[in-house]
Amino acid sequence: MQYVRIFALHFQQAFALRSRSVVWFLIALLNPLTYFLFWSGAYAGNQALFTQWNLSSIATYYFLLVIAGSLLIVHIEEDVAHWDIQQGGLSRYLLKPFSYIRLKFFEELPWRIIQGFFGVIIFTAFWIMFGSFVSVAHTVPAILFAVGIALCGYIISFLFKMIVGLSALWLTDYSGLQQLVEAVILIFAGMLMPLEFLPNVIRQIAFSLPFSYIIYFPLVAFQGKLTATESVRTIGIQIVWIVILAGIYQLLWKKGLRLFIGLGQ
Amino acid sequence: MKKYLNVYRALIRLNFSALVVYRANVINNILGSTVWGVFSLVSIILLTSRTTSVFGWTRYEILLLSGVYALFIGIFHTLFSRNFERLTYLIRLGMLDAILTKPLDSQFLVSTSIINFTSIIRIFLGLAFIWYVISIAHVTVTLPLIGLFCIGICVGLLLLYSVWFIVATLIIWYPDLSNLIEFLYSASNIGRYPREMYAHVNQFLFLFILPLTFMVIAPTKILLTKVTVFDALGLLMFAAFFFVCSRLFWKFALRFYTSASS
Repeated sequence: MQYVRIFALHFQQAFALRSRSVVWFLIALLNPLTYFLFWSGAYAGNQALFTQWNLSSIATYYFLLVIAGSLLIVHIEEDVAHWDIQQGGLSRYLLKPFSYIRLKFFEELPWRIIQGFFGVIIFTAFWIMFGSFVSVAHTVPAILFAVGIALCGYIISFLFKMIVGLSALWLTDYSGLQQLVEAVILIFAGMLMPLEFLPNVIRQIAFSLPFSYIIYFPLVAFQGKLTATESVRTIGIQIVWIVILAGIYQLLWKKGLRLFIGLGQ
Repeated sequence: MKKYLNVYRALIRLNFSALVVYRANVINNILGSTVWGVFSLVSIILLTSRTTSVFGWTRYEILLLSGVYALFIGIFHTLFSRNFERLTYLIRLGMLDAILTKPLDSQFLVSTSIINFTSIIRIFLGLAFIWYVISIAHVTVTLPLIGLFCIGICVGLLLLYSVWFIVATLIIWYPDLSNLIEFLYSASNIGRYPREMYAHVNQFLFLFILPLTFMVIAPTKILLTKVTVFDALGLLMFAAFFFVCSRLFWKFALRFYTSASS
């Protein structure tokens, strides 16, 4: 119950700053739309090169990406690294009888929900205007699997960004690492293009990293491109990633906390 | 004019001193610039890996457009973009007064105080990529073309600067919207794709996007000897129009600056 109250308080704050959320959402909207426009031109003259994908599935992918980019890509790392570690704000969390990671989870969630909601509005408008053009999962099991994959994707995203944030305990300036992570996620999570479009080697690398399980797999699951077996396998791999990332987080938290001096850097 | 050149020389010196002092910060900035420079080039290589032409542009022409964009945005980030990030907190924290009271043009001071030397790496990446594409695509580049190209880049920079300045000025009314600058970073990417691509979007939206499509396309077409009167005049007219608008809008907006912070 106490975490529900914390969530509600942060939701209030995020809602009060909704105009900021609109701008963040516009940023998340701009790139997928640009990439879609590019692919629509690339597809026009080269249909034969796009096996298993057509303009409708490419459009649906990028419009779903508008939601996924806002909802599933967590941005807690700056909060953790800059405000809590570098500015010393972590001290006040350590004094409270709550788990730090849970507090951060409920701090971030309202922002994702509000920005994801804008994405849902855009997708719904797209669906209403081009209903026959949209190809999404329409059976109950496929939708349930997709929701499960998206939830696991969110947890992977959250744990990974918490780890990036904690790196500030060792680094004087973590911004270079943060930018490297952003670029890597853009390519390997499928935010630039569906992973099938990548050259073979890069695609194999993408499938062996956790990022594709944050964006790409939830998207293709919502498009109904995964069979029940593939969905179960995907959730299984996601759980393995969650366990690995949670282990790394715990390790870094225990080791890193000893380095924290609470004075700011 | 001489006074402003002297001030700018002093600013270069001060920024260079800061670069040497904060070494960890510099390493991180170099890493960040390299990451985004490489990403912008790798992403276009990946995007065009399955196609030979898009919207009437061949793959090499699109790669060249991206190389020119990398060079262009490298110069812009070196000279201007950090100043806009600073402008947001100067307004939000009510610290703009210190600039307004100086005996210099306030637009000049808020736009030029920070020079981000670490972004020069993106300029070199862009130049290397342009050279690579030109050599594999067998594009003939003459000295007069390079001269015209440089002029095109300068006018394009004026256009992008003016658009950023107009949007950043809005923060005087909406100090909480400091993330508008992040939006501008993303919106500038519009320039690295063919203009024809945007003709498919809603006409009203296309009108907003149109000016940004001139800033890199026109210089690229100069290199390809495909520049049209429409490209050249469009770039010149939009740059002049938006620059005048940015001056007038800034002066108008300052009337509403309360100095009270948010």
